Amino acid sequence: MFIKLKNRGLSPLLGIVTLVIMAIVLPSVFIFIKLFHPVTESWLHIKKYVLADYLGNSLVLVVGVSMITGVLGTFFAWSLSNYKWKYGLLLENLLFLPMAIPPYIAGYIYGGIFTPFGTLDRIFDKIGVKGFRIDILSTGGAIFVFSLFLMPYVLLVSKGFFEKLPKTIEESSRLLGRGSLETFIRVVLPMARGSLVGGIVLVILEVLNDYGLVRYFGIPTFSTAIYQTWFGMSDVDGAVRLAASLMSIVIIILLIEQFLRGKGRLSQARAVADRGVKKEASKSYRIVFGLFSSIYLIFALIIPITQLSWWASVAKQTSIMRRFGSILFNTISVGLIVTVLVVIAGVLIGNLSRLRPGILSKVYARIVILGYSIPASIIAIGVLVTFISIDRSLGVLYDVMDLKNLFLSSSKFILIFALTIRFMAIGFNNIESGFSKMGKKYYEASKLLGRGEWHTFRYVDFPILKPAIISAGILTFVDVLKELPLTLILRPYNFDTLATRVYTYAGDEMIHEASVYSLMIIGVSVVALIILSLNRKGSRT
Amino acid sequence: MKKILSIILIAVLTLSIAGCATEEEKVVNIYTDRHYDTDQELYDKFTQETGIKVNVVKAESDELLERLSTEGEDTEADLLVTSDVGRLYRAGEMGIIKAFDSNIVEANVPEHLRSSENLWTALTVRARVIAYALDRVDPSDLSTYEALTEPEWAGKVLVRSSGNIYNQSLMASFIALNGEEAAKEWAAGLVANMARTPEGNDRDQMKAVVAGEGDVAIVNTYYVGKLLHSSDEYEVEVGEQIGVFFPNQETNGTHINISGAALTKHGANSEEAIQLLEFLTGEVAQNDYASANYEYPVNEAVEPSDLLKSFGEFKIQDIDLSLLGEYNDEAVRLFNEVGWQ
Repeated sequence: MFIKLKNRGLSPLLGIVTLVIMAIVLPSVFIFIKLFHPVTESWLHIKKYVLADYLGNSLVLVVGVSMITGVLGTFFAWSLSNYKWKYGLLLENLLFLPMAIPPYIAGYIYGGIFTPFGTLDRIFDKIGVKGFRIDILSTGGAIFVFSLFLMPYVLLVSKGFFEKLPKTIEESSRLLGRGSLETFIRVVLPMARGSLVGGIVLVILEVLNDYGLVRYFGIPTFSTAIYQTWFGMSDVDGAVRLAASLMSIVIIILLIEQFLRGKGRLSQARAVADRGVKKEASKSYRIVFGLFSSIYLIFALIIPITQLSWWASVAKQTSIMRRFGSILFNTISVGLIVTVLVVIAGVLIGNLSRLRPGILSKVYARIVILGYSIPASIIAIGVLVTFISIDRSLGVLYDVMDLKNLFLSSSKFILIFALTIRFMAIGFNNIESGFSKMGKKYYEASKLLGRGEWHTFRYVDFPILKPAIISAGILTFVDVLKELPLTLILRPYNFDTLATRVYTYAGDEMIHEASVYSLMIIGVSVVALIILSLNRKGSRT
Repeated sequence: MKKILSIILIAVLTLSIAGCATEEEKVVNIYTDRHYDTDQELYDKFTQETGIKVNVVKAESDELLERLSTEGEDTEADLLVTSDVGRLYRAGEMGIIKAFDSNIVEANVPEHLRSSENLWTALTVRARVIAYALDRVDPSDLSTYEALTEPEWAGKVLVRSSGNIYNQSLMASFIALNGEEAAKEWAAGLVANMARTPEGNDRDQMKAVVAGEGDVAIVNTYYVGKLLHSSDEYEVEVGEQIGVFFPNQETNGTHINISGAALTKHGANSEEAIQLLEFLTGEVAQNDYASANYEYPVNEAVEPSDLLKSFGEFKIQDIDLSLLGEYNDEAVRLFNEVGWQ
């Protein structure tokens, strides 16, 4: 290990990564400290009356959603990366698109369809049939909605992995007489474990941190307990403490997973850069895939967009619509900046854990997830406390430069910073899965040939890593587009994004008006996907 | 491609930083949890009238309180606006708002809708009423919130979850008026009579009443207005099958909550903030509040909208509004104890 430490050229990387990690940790320190504060009365109350129930609900949601998204996401990812499809790229983008619809909006959409006087009732009414009612505002309904709109996380992370899986492994297995299903289950899946876990972890954290959907559905979960302590019983410390315990549990589970995974990772399998030609799928496979993907797209894309469009068409026009330009500019500019920062940080950290596998980089790799593992409102307090103390310590400098007292914390810096550490996990999980199958053979070869760090990265690592970087970029960008809690509380004056506009209306039970902006989020996502697809296509030829 | 992207990025960064510069002009900075387009229109009107620029951050009230308290004396915010009196009380307890004097506000807003220490003033009022199915319920069978816990309403009462602030303030008012024991008994009785486990928002409760899942729902007048004036004709139809009943008219009055505003303790533009309060409680703004947003005006010179007038006049709960804040924590605990999800 010490010899590795002395490897030339690594220390600057280690230094930079350590700085990035510190920036991520800083706001969480504030949250962690609260773990050691004495317990508050409201915590005792929560524990006595509701905690067991709420935890139970969270657990049911997490298990249900991660199973469905895991199976669906893996199935789609494997099919897309392994077989030839007509319009494969289009299909891939379509399957990804539901991610642009935030689960809480999806909750309103499905609520609007299935509750009394909803769309379904009206259809039955029109055709003169006595309708039936599905109780969508239930735990089952929540699992259904979450799964539909979180599946793309698993799809994208897994697909990035499958795409670069060496053909030889699979072929060896087939040559040794295993069927394609058996090969998939016994050979491919165990290797994909890392990326599958990576994707599902994102899904789990989304479910755990959701407050909007579960509140509307009336399902109290762990995050309900956090907000009840804060908003209901005005006990901020107690709320932060609850969030900190959630964060600890998540991190411990992740670390255990990481250490258990140990040598099972593909970095030892010496992946190759290209997967070669995609196969033709058998007829029955084509039918199954076609069936699943169309059913999925009907529920996750066609129905919601139809419903949103219909709602948007009856929405009342308001004078605020004229500020549309600045709203769009804010949304896209913040999205782009955060995406670039997340990708850069992800590449740096991923590169470090590839070149210097050790306890430190393993811990680093898991710390990245800190910002994503607790509800955003809590992270927001941490970031706020951090920035205001930075501002205060820079006070003298501000006076000299004639800046206002809270220069950083009242500007877009704080928002961009917070969003970056929040979505670091998203970007990193993708990039890490790219790095992990790449190994360091090429890196070492390039170094042996006397190339410098930058040259090696630019001409050797980057081309191999590009698909993972693109996935990371899309996920981050779309996530920032729809992000709400952080933007809401950390934004500067008069700063609106598409997502805050959605919230403004949805929070006031004005779903029709909210639909207009929801559709715009989807629209921007579509444009982003098109640009990236064109770019990716170009790089393949 | 990369070049274009980097040029865009640089441009964006420059613009973002350039946007941070402030000019010397009269401003008032607001933290608000009211997120209505009508509010923005009112602020624009105020700017037109006075030349004072209004800057707004909109977020959840408790997060705003936390931001305000963390910013301490460095805060730029001058005015705190919330749609729940409990949050104003909480801000007072945290010591992040300060008392203000304005003869105009005092003349505009009746005493019971202002803090006794001049810490805050109401801007609008909402009543929490019983919505009933016109075809099934005889309003003469309705009397009080308390009566909804009687056996005749078993399985017929609809209400949203206890996480909702208006349910909490209703409960807090019962604790203040009738004591903890009685309030807890009421909540337990209501849970026993619920038609279903709480789900959905206020509009959903009324739709469920019309669909026959229950007979009565506890909702805000505000949402009845939203339903009746919805751009969706089905929702209007639902609204038309709903009757509004003001409970406790023979006893201690119907529960109300307010939207209100307070000056932040360390705001630098207090004068401008008071000017804005005087504008918002004045007749022009109060008329806009009343007509656009189905809220009751606080200025007695202004009439409620025709819709609200059609619900009839009512006696409001005789209670010091600050108590709704004081007993909010207790209300949440009691909800948990009786299992009101």
